Amino acid sequence: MTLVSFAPTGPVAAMAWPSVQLDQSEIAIGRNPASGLCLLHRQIRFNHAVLRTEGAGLYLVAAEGAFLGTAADPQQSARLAHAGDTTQIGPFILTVREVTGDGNVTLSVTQTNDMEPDEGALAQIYLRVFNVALPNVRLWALLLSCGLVVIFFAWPLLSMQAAKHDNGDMQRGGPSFSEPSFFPPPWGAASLWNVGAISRAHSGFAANCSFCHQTPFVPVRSSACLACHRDIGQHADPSVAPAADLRLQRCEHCHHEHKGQTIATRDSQADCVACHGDIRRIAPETSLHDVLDFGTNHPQFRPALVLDAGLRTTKRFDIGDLQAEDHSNVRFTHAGHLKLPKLNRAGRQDVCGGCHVPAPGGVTFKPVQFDDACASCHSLQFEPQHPEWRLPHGHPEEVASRIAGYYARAALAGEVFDRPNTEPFYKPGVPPPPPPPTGTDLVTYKTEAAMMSTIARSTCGECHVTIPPAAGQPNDAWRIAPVFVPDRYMPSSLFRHASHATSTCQNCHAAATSNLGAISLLPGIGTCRACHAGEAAPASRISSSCASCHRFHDDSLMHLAPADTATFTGGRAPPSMPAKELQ
Amino acid sequence: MTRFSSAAALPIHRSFLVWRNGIYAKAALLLTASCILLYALQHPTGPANGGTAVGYFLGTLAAILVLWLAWFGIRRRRYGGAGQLEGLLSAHVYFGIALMIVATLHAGFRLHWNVHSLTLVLLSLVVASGMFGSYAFWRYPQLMTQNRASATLTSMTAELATLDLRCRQLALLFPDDIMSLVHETVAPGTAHFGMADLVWGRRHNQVHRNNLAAIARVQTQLADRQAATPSEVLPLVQSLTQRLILMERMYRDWRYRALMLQWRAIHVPLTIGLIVALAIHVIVVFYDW
Amino acid sequence: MTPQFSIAIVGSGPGGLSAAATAARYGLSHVLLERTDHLCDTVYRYQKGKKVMAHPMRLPLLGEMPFEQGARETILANWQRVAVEHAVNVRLASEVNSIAKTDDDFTVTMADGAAISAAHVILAIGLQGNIRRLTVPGAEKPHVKYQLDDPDDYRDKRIVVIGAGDAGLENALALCGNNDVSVVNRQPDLSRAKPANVSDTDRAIRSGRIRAFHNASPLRIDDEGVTIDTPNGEVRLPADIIIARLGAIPPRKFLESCGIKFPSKDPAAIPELSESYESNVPGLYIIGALGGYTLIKQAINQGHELVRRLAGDPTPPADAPLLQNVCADAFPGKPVNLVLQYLRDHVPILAGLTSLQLRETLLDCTLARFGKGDTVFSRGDYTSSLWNIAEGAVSVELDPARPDNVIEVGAGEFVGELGLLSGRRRNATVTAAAPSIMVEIPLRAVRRLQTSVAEVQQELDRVAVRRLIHTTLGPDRPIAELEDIIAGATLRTYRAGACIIKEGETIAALYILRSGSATVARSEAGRENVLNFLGAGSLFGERGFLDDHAVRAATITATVASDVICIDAAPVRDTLARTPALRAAFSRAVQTQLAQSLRATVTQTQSTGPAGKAAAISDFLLSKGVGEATNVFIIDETICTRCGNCEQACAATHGGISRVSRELGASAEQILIPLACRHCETPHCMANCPVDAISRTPTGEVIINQQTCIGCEKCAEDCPYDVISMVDIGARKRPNWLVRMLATVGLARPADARIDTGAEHEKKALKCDLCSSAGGIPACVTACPTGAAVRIAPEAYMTWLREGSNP
Repeated sequence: MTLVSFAPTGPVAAMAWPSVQLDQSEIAIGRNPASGLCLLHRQIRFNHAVLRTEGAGLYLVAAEGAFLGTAADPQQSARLAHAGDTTQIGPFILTVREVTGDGNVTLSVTQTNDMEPDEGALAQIYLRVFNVALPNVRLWALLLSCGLVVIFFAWPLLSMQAAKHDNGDMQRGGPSFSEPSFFPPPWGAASLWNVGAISRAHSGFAANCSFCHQTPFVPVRSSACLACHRDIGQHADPSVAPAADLRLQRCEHCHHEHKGQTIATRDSQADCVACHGDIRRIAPETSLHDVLDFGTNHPQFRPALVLDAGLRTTKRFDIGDLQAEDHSNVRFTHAGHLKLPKLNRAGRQDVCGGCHVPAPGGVTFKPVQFDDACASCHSLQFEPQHPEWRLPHGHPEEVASRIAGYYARAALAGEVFDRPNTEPFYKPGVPPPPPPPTGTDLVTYKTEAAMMSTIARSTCGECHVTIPPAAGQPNDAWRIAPVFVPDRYMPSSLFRHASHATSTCQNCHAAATSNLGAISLLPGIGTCRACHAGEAAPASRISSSCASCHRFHDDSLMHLAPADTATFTGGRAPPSMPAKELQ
Repeated sequence: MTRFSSAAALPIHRSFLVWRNGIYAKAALLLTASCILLYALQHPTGPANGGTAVGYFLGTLAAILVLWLAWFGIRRRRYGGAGQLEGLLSAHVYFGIALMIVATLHAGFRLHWNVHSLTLVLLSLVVASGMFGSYAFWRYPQLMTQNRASATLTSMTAELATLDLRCRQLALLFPDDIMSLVHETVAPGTAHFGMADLVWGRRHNQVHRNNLAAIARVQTQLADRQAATPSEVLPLVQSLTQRLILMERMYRDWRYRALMLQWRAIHVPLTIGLIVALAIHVIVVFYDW
Repeated sequence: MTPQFSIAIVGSGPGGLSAAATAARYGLSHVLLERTDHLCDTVYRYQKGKKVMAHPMRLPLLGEMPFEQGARETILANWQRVAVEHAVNVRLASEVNSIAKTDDDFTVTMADGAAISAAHVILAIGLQGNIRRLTVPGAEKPHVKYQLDDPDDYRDKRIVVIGAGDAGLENALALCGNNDVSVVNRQPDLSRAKPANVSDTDRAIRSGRIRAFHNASPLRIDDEGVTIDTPNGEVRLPADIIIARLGAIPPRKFLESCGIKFPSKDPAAIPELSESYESNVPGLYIIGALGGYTLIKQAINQGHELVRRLAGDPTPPADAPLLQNVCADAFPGKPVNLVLQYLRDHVPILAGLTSLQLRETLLDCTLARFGKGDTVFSRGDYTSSLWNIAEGAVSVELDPARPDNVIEVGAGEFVGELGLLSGRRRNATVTAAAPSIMVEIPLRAVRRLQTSVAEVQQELDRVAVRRLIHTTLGPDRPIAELEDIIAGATLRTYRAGACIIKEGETIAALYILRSGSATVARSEAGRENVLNFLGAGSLFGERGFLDDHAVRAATITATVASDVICIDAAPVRDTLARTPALRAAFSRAVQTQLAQSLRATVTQTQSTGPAGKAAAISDFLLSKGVGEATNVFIIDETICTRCGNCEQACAATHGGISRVSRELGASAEQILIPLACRHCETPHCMANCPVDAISRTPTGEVIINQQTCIGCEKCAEDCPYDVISMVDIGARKRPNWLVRMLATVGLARPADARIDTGAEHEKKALKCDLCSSAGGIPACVTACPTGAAVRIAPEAYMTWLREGSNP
């Protein structure tokens, strides 16, 4: 019989502690409420150990898997026989305080400082867990700002400076289209600054901004454009209309790059009407008419008819002007030809195409060539008995020798051909005619006679204006008057035949009744207005502003960029103009 | 009269969204409508863009709006002024939305891989985060107040700590496996929240599941064992359930607070970034004129 | 025989020492007799390190002794130095047993048997030397103490404090943090002490930190405790320490043995003195607390003044130049004495004052002359002072719509008592009806007079009741018609939460709320629905006087401590029946109020829906004491995003320290009342400020003057809503922008942290000033970005709640 008393001390003192009679063989120690000594601590097992008497002493024996002592020095059992014997179970220290003579043992139980977490401290931990704090937005903002400046400002700027340095002389040497770019678009440094897609035409040097943007903070200068576009022309002669001098303008005024695949060009009727609405205010001497709108206020077309084919000068007449003369020196009537059954077979829509072949580009037609268009009907034979002998078209100087050769050959072959009238022809008072030529004289005679009929009247003269030899000039010969058929009769307009291919030719051109050449064949403004209205067109008609038909730059006038200067800032005296009839 | 009565003339508990009957909403609508009209009536050379006259006008307007809206961040901290900040916030919200439209019109609805479009994208993000913020400011205070039911964060954490300790204490009376299960479940380390919890509320379910699982296991394991009587089990299960409910409530509270606060972590740095990008945009446009 | 000394001074407190130093300075032969073995025993026994105040601040200091507020040790050292430097003839350990008047001089006999003779004797013994002791059995036990040196000496002790005066309560409050404290109070309540101590103790009792036994007295003391007699029988209180604070009384027996006569049998009565502090025994003078001057500075001045007169170099009293200033405007060049006599003759309320009380009161007053038509004060002003008409008359205009309906008030009467006591704005405009001389007595001085001179309180109450009944029941009827009603009126005080009228009880009286506020509630479906909110000046309980209702239809409860005029029903019914014109006027007044409460009733009878919510909110607000506020900060939590801008704005506009706290506020019904000043009608904080640093501006804000605040914490203790905090202002300042930028990238301490400047500053009382220091628009409200926060008068808020829309 051993009475074991537990004497709790320290923080566990408040718990109720039993004195246990060790009448059974052992006392259980653990968290189990049924234990002899119930120690409620998380480091104590449910059934941690038993206290039992073995021989003379009291032993504390740990259950399986549990241990006594500290984790550093685990023990399976401990002897508690004498005062002062001590062992540790979880955080509790058991010490034998007293052993009485009759074997009663008093054990003191002390808890080491391994306590449950303090409630306040736990609440503080939770307060941190559930705390919400704004992250360091200033730092983020700083990092973001620095990143933006480096990637989107410093890097493109530096790379462009390098590119500019590499291509420093490009302005003089012309564009280099092999711009090296480490990062291809859209990732190149330059593209980070690119405000929009560059036109196809300029895409070759898109990576080099400084090619066009030559000076920072200065808008693109015309000189940058003119470095390539040397041949672009003025709009009007500055000597006549100084206000229209393009050297006082920026190209960018009308032409906008970075707007997509094509260059955006300003197309506003108002810009044109600003001058052309009252053109004499700008140029008092001009013969141009005022224009306000194609649909409502546009002068009748005035085709440029040939004034002198040799000099290639033209003169403008109104459509329908019966006094109009066209001196192209070709004798041709569309009406006459179209009456021919051979040409005007019913239903033939391509009757015009037999002669008129569209030129590449679809604007005009190829010049009508004799060999292609005329030769099948007009054979150029001069001797019906020998149709295989023909005159060479386009070489009037050879015509005389070809004819002479024919007759000479015939004479040598003994061929008898008509002599001139050899019968005596007597008339009172009239000297008798000379005797008929013979031999070479006959050849000469026949040749001249053929020339007269061929050149002047039938073969050549049927289509061409022929010029007889001047009287008294023995060396002079028959000549063909120079021919000049302009490819466009309305040179200021940009009519594209290809764009109108869905329509038949005779919808616009009154060829079937045209006997008078160009002036009767060309359509008037009314013909266009059937489909085209002005800029503000109703839905049923096509909106047409000035630029629909007219070119702004006149390449023939002058070149904006003088060849001797790379930069062009305006203000120079205009270069001399080629003399040209402006009418 | 005295200031007291003028204080009474202020609107009482009226959300900033309906400040003075939405006067700024109307003003912003008018501005937007004018800009759309202006945009529709222009005849640019080429596609509409920031380089036309209307484009420059809209761009200048948008830039001024950006700076003025960003100034709100400074004005917000400049306390003691005469104006009511609420009115300014109302204007900030509505003109911020209007700015989005003005800026899009300025860009002519075009986007490219460049700093200019980046500016627009940043602006969109700023406006979008701001719109979320407006939503959060409108929605979450109510939810949060309902969820809190007059408790404070301090009182809830104290309650949670008490429940934790009670659970741990009660668990000591049970066999080892249940005790360690409960002690693992109620440790403060089980509650920590991240971005996913904020955005999707996923953690909410995870905490819920963990707690439910712990309760279920306590119940089943004790049911298997005949040792424990219901009267011993009940307090532990009750405490665990209380803790579960409280934890959920605190999680929701955390989420509402975080949502109301964290959008500014996007809004504010992006605004600064936007101003920088805007400056670069303007410089670049005129650098390469 | 020539006396040994020209002057014998008994007691070496501030007064005695000052007198002795002055005597030494003038070369008069003198002796300073001190009972203990050190000078200034009362101050010596103050708690260690206690801060000694030097008020009244504006009173100049005369004489040899330096005195500024400071630590007890500093002050004692300074005085010790004065005694040494002036070679004051001190005789320590000389308790005086008797003072006998012989022909021309006095013989002063000490306890040790020695005797001296002197031509004049100055008694400067104060009161503390004669504390009351327990007389019950066991009073001699060593654990019975009569003073508390350092409350920190006691921990985990069971302490019984006997006596519920200021000293007792202060001791109990100081000890209750670390000890188990009981207070034994002879009175039925704590009314004897200062309000601040009462409210603190009340709180401590409610929270269980102090146990109190009222109507109780000790019976016997043993080694382990004390047995007390309570209404419920004897109770034994175990006690380790017993502290008896029974007060101090004049040593009457000793004084009477010296021939000094007392005016009454009251043990607390003090001897009658002449202007020059001479008692009825010629040559025997009394200065300091024994003469009624409880403040240190007054005692020092008196000692100096008295000795100089004795030395033949009289000096006017220290307050003379101040009084001269007060009188200068109204009575230029007139001697102060004549003005004092004039006031005594012309202002009845001041007539009963002793010369000393009059001087002290006059220091706070303003004397002003008004020409005919000058405005004295205007309706809506927030001024709290009493205007006495010494000469001339004023007219009181009650209703701005009827400027011809004025009440004339003549010389000898006063105006302004309603605003003074209710804390509300002025309800009338007062102009001088004739050239007048008026005395403005501020609230503090009136309160002092009310507590010390019973007649003043009675007179104020009497006039106030008359006036209030007149203005409420029939302002345009002559007051003579109301005499019967006035005769039946009594003034009652109700505590906060006390029921004034109970629903269903018989109608027995008519009520007028004089100060405070009340709610009108009716029970609906088991729940009290608040129908209306009554402010000071409201008439209630009026139903049944015009019709035949017999029982009360609603319950009326005081929301804060309120004074109510209660008028017996019978004289009211008689008078109304007798005087049809008065009945008509009364009817008008009733109709106005009925219309208001009907409107409220219609919207509030449902307990669910928005009206029910409004009622719940108003219940909550009233339960938090909003009823006594004039301007309260309220946040709607369904809109509040918890951004804290209100607190930051407050901090930014007030030197970095916020005066509002949301976390510490109270919330219910999705409404939060943050911890912030409500600018109470009757500011609790103002009541006990020793330096008058707290004042109410004309526009109503209650503000604390940071220059004059001495950090005594009185106001913070007095405030029932804990909105005043004691802060070491100026010790922290905001880092400059560079530091803040560096902090952004983590190179310095957090950006918004304020850095300690290391400078020593005094603590000051801080609370909301409605931003009157920063432009006048509350920054917390203007800084609210979502419209959740309002600062508003509770009436306006209640109206808004009722009507469900913005006013």
